[in-house]
Amino acid sequence: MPILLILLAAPALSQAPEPTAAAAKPLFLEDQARALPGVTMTCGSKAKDYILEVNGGGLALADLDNDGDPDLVVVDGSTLERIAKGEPGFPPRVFFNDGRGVFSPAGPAWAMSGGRWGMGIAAGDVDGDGFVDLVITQWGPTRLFLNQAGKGLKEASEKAGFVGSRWGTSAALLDIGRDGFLDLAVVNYLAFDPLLVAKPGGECTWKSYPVMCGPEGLTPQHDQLYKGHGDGTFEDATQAAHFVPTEAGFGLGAMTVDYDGDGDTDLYVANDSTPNHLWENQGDGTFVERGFARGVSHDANGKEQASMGIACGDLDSDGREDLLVTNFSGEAISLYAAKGPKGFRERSSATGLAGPSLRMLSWGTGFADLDLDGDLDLFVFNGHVYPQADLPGTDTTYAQADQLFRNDGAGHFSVETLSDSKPRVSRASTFGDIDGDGDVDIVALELNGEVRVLRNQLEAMRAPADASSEPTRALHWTGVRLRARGKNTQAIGARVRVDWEGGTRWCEVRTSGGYQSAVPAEIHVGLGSAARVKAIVVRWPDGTESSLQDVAADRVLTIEEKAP
Amino acid sequence: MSRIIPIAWCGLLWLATSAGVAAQQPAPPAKPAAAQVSLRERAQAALARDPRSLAFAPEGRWSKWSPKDKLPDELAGDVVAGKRAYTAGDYAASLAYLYALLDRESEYPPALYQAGICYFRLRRYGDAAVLLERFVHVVPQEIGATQALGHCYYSLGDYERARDHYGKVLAASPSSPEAVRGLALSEMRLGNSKRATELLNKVLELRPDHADAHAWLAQILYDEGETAAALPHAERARDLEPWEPRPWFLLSHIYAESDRQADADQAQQRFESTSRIAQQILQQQGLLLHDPAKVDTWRELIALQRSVGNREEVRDALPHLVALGTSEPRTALMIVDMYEWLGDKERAKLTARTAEILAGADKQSWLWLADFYRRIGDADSAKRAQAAADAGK
Repeated sequence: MPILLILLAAPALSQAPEPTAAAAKPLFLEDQARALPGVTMTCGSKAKDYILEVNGGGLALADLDNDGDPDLVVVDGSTLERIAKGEPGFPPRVFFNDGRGVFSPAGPAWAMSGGRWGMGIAAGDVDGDGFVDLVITQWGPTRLFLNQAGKGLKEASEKAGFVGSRWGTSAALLDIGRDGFLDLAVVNYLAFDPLLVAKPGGECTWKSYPVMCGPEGLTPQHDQLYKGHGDGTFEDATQAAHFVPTEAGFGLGAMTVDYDGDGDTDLYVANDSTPNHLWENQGDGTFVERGFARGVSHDANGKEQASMGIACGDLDSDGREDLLVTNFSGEAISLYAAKGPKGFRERSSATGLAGPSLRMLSWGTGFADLDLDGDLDLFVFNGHVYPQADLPGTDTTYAQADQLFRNDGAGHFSVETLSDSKPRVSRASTFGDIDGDGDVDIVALELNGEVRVLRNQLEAMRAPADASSEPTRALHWTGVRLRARGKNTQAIGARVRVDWEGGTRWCEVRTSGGYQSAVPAEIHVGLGSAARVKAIVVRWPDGTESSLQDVAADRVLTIEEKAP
Repeated sequence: MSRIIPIAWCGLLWLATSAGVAAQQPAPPAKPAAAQVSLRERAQAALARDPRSLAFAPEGRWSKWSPKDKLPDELAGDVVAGKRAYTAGDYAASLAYLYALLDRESEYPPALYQAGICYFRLRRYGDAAVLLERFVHVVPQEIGATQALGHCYYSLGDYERARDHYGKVLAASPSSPEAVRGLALSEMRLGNSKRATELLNKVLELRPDHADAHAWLAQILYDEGETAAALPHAERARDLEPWEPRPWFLLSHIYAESDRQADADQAQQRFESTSRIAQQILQQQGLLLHDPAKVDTWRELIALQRSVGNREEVRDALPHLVALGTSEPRTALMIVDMYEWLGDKERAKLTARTAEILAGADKQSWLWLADFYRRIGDADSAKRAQAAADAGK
């Protein structure tokens, strides 16, 4: 039986790289057929002849109508044919959540016009009226849509103060000077002109195959920083804030994080094929780039990576959040574990993340306690940029499986299949509890494909003791929303410490989702078997603190900042 | 992984048939003559083949095969041609010959092995693993020669399988530093830092000047917070291979944590400069994988390696440039320069004679040659070259 023997000996290595250890039942159920039927996105042609066509669009989960559940915004792209004809791109779309995680198109008051070619999104209350506004990045000028008191959106791009027309990817809202006004960082990719970039057909190759050109060989664009006035207008503060590195990177991902714990918000930027940047807020309105010094610019070998997305969370409950970037195929995802007061160490191998991610090209990602056992898990969405990845000998594939990395509580991750979905060419993702059942769900974009809703199927309920009893909850959680007094109404940049029997975690309130996406400005913490929270401590953006003691679990608490 | 792990072209196949094959000098890669176009097409076809589709031999057909076995006459032609192509760096053409051989003689062990190595060289690790696994299955007694299979699994991120395979290789060949190193790195990737450290120390017992082992050891120790212990290994790696960016990268961080900021800044600068060149080198190497007959690429690669002082790499690359031949004086002069830099005056002088023929009326070439002859103490030749330059020749 030589054939059988050899098949056993030789794994099918040319097939799609799959996670190695699959759970019996995936934790997530792909549910868009019910929750978001027929919603797709477009980013160029399927042939992917130009780099403009490969990054996909954006996603935001944000409560736009203040009804307590996260609504969904999908940023769509365009095609080169539309560009050539002078037609606008496909418009961003808003979908309202019915509270059970089923989304339906919002009415005409929420309609946004098609821009040039949509990319990413930031969500936050930039005018301080208590309603979430939207910033849309594009291959083209950045756009602003102001929320009209939960009744609709109105474009305010012209008066917003945004300058230039670059290729914006991710954007992040942060309060740089802790003045109560939200500021904006826009991460830019590269200078792209379809008339100047080499045509497909052999000028650029990957593993001997002709592929689209870039980013190498093209010119990276500097990122931009805007100082907010708290009224929906901004001024360009890029130069004044020294937000200009020695060399520009091909910017793709952005994450707000107070990495040094000094109370002001810093910014981490994932760059494609160039070193990642860590912008340290000096507290005086300026930044210093410290990526190399802090050990988060390269991988552990000193190799520049093609970084895409960013996840952020305090994995070891040491009070400092850890950073993770997703990378190109052939480069493992990099986990930068916070060490000491300001530094990081790359720990992908030690935590089990390196091997399963090596052949993946990864994008959207996030740390969240997906199984409510009290530690942070990780999800990663994958998909190659080259359709040619399916040709012989690439050791990877175009469509790739989603991955769930489950934390064992001791800092080691085991890979699982995220859902029973087929492999996809995935891009941006966002996460939050869309159906109000206490666990974290995910929404993800398939390039030139579906907007996917991945519903968490965690069985958090304990079976009833007998037929007459009600089921009880076995796994608990808590959620926290903050309402600040100033114009930064969601308290973006606040830090929240949650203590429970068996654990403690510091979390930062943010809406930056890592890659062209925005997440709800909420804290979600899994508590395992603890049915009560011992304490919640809030460190507000202005430095004041408040706390709650002995709080019941399994609900979202809204904590308002008290007047001094 | 910081770089491709060096794999020697295994003697399994060629030991059996070294007769008639040039031992040292790489043969020129295929040129676009009519017959060679056909070879390029065969090479492309070989690259498009799926190694899983190769026919199987009857079970046990090769169970008694030994590397000492005489090569069957009917296979000799493809073997010789395959080796010539491989030696020239033309792995696709080599694969074409090996496939032709395997199509005639299914699972002929050395051809399976060599085809696996060709795929490895082409960085097609999945395909390489398929063939090397079949080789191990067909002739399990030769497992000691298959550390490349461990490298494949490692490169694919399958560290458990890599670890297992290195273990088997070491059971058969316990003194292979590369297999111990592979095992160490697999253990490190699996989170077993302590075991990795022990194994890397074993590599250093076997080869005290193993720069890469020093660098990995430094990195593991640094990652584990043992900064002081990491320092001497990082410095040793730097001293052994100052063109490698990684030791500089590590040193920059180690110095910074040791409050040696000036040293840290200097190390960072060296890291950035070596890193830039390392990227360019990788790029040229990638180009050569698929177009090994490109003189300009070899020139560029050699110039880059020379610029960082990497004699070993220049020594490896130079014969390829020589084998390609040249009608350009600048290439000939470069070869002279490189041989001189490597301390091989005889070859430098021989090539200088060729350069004289090519120099024609190029005054700059003659001036350069005059200087060269003066440097090596050949006054007559220097005078002749100077005269040619002065004559505006």
